[in-house]
Amino acid sequence: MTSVWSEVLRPERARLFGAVVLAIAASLLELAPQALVYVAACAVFADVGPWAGAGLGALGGWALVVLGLTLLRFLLMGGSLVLSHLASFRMAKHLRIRMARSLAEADMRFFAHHSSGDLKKALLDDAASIGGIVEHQLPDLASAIFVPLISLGVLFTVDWRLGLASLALLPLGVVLMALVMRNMGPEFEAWHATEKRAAAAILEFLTGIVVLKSFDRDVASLGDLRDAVNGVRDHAVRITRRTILGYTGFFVLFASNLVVVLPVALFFFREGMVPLETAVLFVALGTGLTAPLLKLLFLFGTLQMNALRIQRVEDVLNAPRARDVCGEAALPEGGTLELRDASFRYEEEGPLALDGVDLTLAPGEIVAVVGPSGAGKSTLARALVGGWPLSRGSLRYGGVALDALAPDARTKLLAYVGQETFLVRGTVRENVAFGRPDAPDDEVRAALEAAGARELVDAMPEGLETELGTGARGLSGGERQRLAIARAALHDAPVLVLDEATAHLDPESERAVQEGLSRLMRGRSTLVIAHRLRTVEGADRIVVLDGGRVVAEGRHEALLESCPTYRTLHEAQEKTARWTLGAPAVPAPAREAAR
Amino acid sequence: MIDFGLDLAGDAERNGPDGPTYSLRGASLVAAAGALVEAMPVWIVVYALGEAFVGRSSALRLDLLTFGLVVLLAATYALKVAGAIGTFGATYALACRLRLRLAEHLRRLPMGFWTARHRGQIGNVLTTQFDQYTEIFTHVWSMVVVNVVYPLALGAGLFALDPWVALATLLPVLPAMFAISWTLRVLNAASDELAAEVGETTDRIIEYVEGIATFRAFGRAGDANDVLRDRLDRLEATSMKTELVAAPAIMTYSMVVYGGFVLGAFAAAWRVESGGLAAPAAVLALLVAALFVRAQASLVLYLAESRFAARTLARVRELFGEPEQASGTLTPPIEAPVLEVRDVSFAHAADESEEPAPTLRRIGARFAPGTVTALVGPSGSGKSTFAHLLLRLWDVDAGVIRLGGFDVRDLSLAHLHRHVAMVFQEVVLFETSVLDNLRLARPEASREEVEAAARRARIHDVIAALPEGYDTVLGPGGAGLSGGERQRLSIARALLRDAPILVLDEATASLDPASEAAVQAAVGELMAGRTVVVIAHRLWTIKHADAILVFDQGRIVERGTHEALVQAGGTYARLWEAQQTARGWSLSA
Repeated sequence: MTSVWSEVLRPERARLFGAVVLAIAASLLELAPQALVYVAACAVFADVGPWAGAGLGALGGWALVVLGLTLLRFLLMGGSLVLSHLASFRMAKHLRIRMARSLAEADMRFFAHHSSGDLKKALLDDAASIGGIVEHQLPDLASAIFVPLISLGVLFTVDWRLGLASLALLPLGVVLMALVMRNMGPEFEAWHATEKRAAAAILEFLTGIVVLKSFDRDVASLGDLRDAVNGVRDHAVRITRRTILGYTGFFVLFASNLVVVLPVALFFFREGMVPLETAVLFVALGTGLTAPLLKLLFLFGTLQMNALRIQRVEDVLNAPRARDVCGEAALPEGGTLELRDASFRYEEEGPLALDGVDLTLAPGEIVAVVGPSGAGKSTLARALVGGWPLSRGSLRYGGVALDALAPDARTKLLAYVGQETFLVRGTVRENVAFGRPDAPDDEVRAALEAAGARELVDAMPEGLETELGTGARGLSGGERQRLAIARAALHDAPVLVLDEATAHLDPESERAVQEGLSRLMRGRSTLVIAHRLRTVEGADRIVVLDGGRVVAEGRHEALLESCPTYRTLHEAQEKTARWTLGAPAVPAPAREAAR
Repeated sequence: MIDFGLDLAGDAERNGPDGPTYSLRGASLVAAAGALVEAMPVWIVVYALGEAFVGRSSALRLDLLTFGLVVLLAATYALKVAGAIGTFGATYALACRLRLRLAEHLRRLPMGFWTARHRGQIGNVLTTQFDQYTEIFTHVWSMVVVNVVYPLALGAGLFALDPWVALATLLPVLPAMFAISWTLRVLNAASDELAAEVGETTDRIIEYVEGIATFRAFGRAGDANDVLRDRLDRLEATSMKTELVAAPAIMTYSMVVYGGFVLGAFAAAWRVESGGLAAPAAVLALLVAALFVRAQASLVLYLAESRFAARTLARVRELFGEPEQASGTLTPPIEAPVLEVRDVSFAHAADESEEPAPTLRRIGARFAPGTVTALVGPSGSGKSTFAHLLLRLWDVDAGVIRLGGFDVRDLSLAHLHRHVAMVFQEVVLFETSVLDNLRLARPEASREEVEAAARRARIHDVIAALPEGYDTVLGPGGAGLSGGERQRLSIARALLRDAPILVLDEATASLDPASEAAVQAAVGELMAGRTVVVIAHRLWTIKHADAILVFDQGRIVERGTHEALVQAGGTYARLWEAQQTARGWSLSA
């Protein structure tokens, strides 16, 4: 793991080094006005040295030098920031690219435990924040350490006793800092938990706002929300009260060297131990000596806040990789798809979601998989098309293990049409030609025609070239499904997997989808994950799943005879299909008569 | 120049019902006093060094001087502590009050305001951005106060030393202020551009993550990666540009401020030359001027930081600016709950990113007590929008909706919703006990009443089987319950609510047959004895409805019973035929 971090950091080493050096140089130039004060003091008071007895006649010239140095300082600072930002942004980008690569190769089960919101947070926010550590913190830190050190060097060279005096309050400040920082780790976590709780309560409120409104529940009546939001305030005040004495203490102490420096410097001067200009130097320079050290504290806080982010990023970078086995075999012509003794679990130690499933799909055959909810129907689809790895068993096509197929052969083997249609932001054309970006327009149009989506696309402002926008929000469910069918048609795979969990579309678009599917199935082997038995009564074979196992297999009529699970499903469906609103028990004519 | 939201703060923020009160204004005054006291040691320096410069150091009482410095230090410390406690207390109390007030305000907006996209953005404002606001404001506000007052105190003292040097040093403060507003303008423009770029990148990242299975299935993972990479390159470039573009403005400010020091030095040299100022005093003036510019220079950094807090406030103000839905005041007894729709037209400005909402044109309908009316039509025909108008999720543009003879806009919303209730397709459950989730519909319901409703909704057995029965706390969003169970909980709520008129949005998601049967039984129970308006997707379920209103392109194109409509051979007949075909469709080779 450390190797990833060092790999991300290594290319930026030169930039970061440059940023640090420039930052230190710039911070030193920040002392130019103080230096001028010292020079002026020398010019007025000193008996020896370069400026002795010079008077203030040249002050204007010196001031111009200060201006020049200040300009130089900002240029150096600018350079430092450019370098550090460049490094930061590049680091963030490389982290993101690495995470994206890791996700592209991850075991699909990883996505079952990580929502797209969480992953987005890791890729976007966390990477930026981690990059941000070097963006401001690193140059700041360098100057926070080096400027006091160099100033101290100068002061000690001039007079070590006064140098010591300017450090007198440091130990006290450090002790206070340690006292405050003690136990801050758990406190920090507790605070985050409080903020998170409030956030959750608020998001819940927003999700339910329409329902809350329809039940006339105002915010005042929602105890949980109020408590959670008030909790943030109370916790913040509690932390403030507990830490503010120490916190303000070292803030004030670090900036108050004057209390010691001024009396001691004056005393030394009075005793003839230092000249007046030295006293001025210590007052000018020694006063703000330790103030930059406060930045160390902020760094500490930033690092603590980033610990969690680093954890999240490492989670993504360490995502278990999909079993990446592929061979070089070409796609056999017209083979049978065979699933033998297949088992699958969502978690390494978890229960079996599929338990020794055998299933064959001959060329041109239509096989339906049915079963009560939780039987493993959707898991089976995932194992076939989603790249979800089997924990046992084999999957072959035309006698060749799928793992032995060349990658593009494997891609060409299966097409999938499900309830959820994933559309990328791009044109209709790009979405339909998703599996074959180079497909000519007439083929794309033919695919749309087959999917019953030709008219739909022709009605769009720019036809095939119409931009669909993020997530294609403007399209209805049925329209999206028809584009998915067109995509599968163009893909032209010999095996089709349908997850017929069609939400209830409006009647006409449901019919259009069905017609599209019928055309698509022609000449292919089709495996249907069916939720409505009626749809698949005519299938060549129906496989009944229950508890992850195949409990029966056969044609509709035979299963009605022999399989109790199938019969139960069938009866429940017949019952719900007869149900109508408004006439639960009494048939309509009787109800008419009663009125 | 920068919105600190001071006007939003009350005179005093009470911390809890019996907690202490904090005032932001008071805290700011204390912080300002602290900054003044913090500047005073500089005057001791000026005095003491001044004495030393003119050879009177032996007369200085170093013990008193030290004592004075220590007292000032202690006073600074005490004032800073008090100021910080006040600022933290007041800010968090303010944020807390603002959040709850905003939540209540949002609740009063027309319900149609709530699109999914809005919800995400507002959620972000109320959570992340508020956290950011308090964090920045508590740290930055007192620093802004200090970095305004402290330089002012030094500047005033500088005048006492020599007005000409002081004038020269302070002269650039005014142009510096212009530089600050320039800086902020540049920064804001740059961060707007960056925000847009970040938004784009976010969309791409989410697309990438959500589409990974599809990308892989089509062998396009590499291309998707390239697209993302491209986007990341652009983000990097824009980020860099944002930083660079603000640099000249920030540098100008600092240069102008330091220019003051240089001018001051020139003035000092001139004053010494012309005999108006003694050389030792000039050195002192320079010392003070150096401290002045240093404090002045840091102001811009804090102001730049506080703009993030200001951004949150801008969003908050914008949201507060959304007009609340006016509730009527009447709460008359409704004798016959007849719902009448007269000549209603409605169009609402749709969010550009959302599916455009259909426009309703001159619609009339009457829902008599005890009848079942179905609204049907293709998606986008306006049937859902129409149903929402019945509940005042929106207000009509023209025409009127009456309940028991009263314009629904004259009735108090609470009163209206006691008579008209909706069962939404999307079931919202909260992370609290099952009991409280059900009681949402009627807070005063007894446990027995809740249980009775659950039994009638065919969900009692499921609840009883939970580890702690009705007291079981549900997971976030009701996690762990199946779709059918959630729907039945929602029906139990409606039973508790017991409104005479019910607007039902038939769920479109398919359930497995067993759970569908349970939901159907619960719906049957719920409908008994009520006026029902149902948004229907499956036409066979409404064959026996008393009336069917067929919507197409925002109009009611047909109305009547199922038989009559099928015979008429119009839109409904076409839909019915399509659905019959669809229902009878079977896969076959």
